[in-house]
Amino acid sequence: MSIRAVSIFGSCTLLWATMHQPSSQARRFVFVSNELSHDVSVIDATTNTVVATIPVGGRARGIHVSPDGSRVYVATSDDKPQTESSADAIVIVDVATRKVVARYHAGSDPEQFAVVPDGSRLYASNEDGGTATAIDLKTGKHVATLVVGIEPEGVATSPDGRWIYVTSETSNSLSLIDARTNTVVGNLLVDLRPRAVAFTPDGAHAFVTAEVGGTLTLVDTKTRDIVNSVPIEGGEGKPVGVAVSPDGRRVYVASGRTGTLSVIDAATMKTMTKVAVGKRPWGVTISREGRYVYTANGLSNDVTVVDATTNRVVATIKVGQRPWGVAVAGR
Amino acid sequence: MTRAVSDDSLVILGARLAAEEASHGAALFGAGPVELTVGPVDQVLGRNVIAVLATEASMDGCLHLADLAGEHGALFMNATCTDDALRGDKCRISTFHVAPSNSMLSDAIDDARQHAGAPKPQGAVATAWDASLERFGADTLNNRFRARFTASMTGEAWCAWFAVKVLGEASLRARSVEARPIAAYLRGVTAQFDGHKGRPLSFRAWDNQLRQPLYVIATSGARRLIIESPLATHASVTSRDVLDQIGTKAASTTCRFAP
Repeated sequence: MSIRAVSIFGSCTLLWATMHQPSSQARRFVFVSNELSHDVSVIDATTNTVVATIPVGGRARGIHVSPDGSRVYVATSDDKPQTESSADAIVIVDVATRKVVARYHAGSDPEQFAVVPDGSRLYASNEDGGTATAIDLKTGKHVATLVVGIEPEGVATSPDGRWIYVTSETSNSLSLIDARTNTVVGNLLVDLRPRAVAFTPDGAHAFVTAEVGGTLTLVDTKTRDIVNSVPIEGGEGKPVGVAVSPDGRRVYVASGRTGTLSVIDAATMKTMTKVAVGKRPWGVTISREGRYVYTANGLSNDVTVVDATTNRVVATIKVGQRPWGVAVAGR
Repeated sequence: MTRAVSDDSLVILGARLAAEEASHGAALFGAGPVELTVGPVDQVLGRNVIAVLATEASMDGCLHLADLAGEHGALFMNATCTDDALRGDKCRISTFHVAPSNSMLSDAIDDARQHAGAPKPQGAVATAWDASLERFGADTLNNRFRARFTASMTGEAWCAWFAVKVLGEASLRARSVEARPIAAYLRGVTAQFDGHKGRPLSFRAWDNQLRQPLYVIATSGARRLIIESPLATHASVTSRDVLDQIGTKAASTTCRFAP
């Protein structure tokens, strides 16, 4: 009897292992743009180790995964702003082969961008141009160039792809772009040095960080009004990256100066807890199901993985030099 | 103030860049452009002028211009004169000092001494700005200035740039193109501004001096940042408290604004 029991146990274990052996397609990878080392680090999210480094030929900053998960887009620029060169581009990396498959011209000094949910276009901010560029992702052609504020930075698309919001750091503005007509339909004066913007999953609101103002601002996307603005870490945190959880209940804000990830209740905008991450975290993103939060820490050259259920750091992963942005591919 | 100003004055260039940027920003909100007129004071100080800047740095010149501006209901944005007296006995409520005071500059040098543990830092200068600065978006501002004028952004150029930038921003936020509401906004308790220095900047209520970090720059060899002053303290201190560590404190000011 005892021998038989052991054998059943053994076969169960084997079955479990087979069922959970992830295929490479379904595995989750985290892509990190490294501004100084001009490359992208690829982290296997199941082991939290770097499995590849992909050179992209320029200062890598904004980074996003295509909605179908097959490609990673990286905004790169040369080390000479105000002059356009071949390094000023959106670099397209194939997730499966981890190779650069295309390089689209993106206007001068592209920094941040957002890919619309159907994957057809992206909108990039041109930091030294005072414009945002809409690029067709099939052809690489520029669909539109839109005048926004001085020193544009953060870009986000609404979940339905209808609206593109762009922050401008010197003008302290948030430009609201109608993606259907590619026109700027409004501008809001927000707090000092707005860095990033993120929509809620229902598209009803958007959160904007202000690095020098030290605040998180809530915008009603229907009325186009500022609803609320709260200080992050008493106004001294230098908030940059912002991400909203898939259930819309939590907002995660990365504060560069204090090296913290603030976990904020989206409804009350109260800070629930703060998690110490690496040095100068800017980029922040969440896995698709909302379990893990990743920060790119520019001065400690690593990525912090925070378990959103416990708000604890579960891994710190060394990446390239001056990591800037972070994006997740796969489930 | 009556002499003709040369076109290459860095004060003018700083003001020009800010006027262009503020006009760009104003257009987003349907407001009119920020117009800049350069010339002798009796020609530029006419009707509808919100503020004037001096291109020279003599105390008598700045004081004269401050009084002339006041008589015309305009503001004097001081981007050049560092004299403590202008923030003390000779202070004017319609004058805002973007230029750091001599006491702020000497406190910054003291910070550099303390930092180096040396009696006197050799070949170093305290300034509101330098073209070698990189952090907090300083590189993007330095690049914009250089691309526009093929010149390095100096302390005076930054002060002029910031003076015009805050006027444009105060005008948008106060929704006014008149000097009095703009001045009221600048003096407001909550008003703060971004000058690419990493901290929110504001005007001290007791003397209208801009709270700001200063930089001690090595001038022998390649220009480089030695320290930012005030020296960094723990993060729990507010930016306002940190920045009030240099210059004249509220308790020791001799400024009494005429009502």
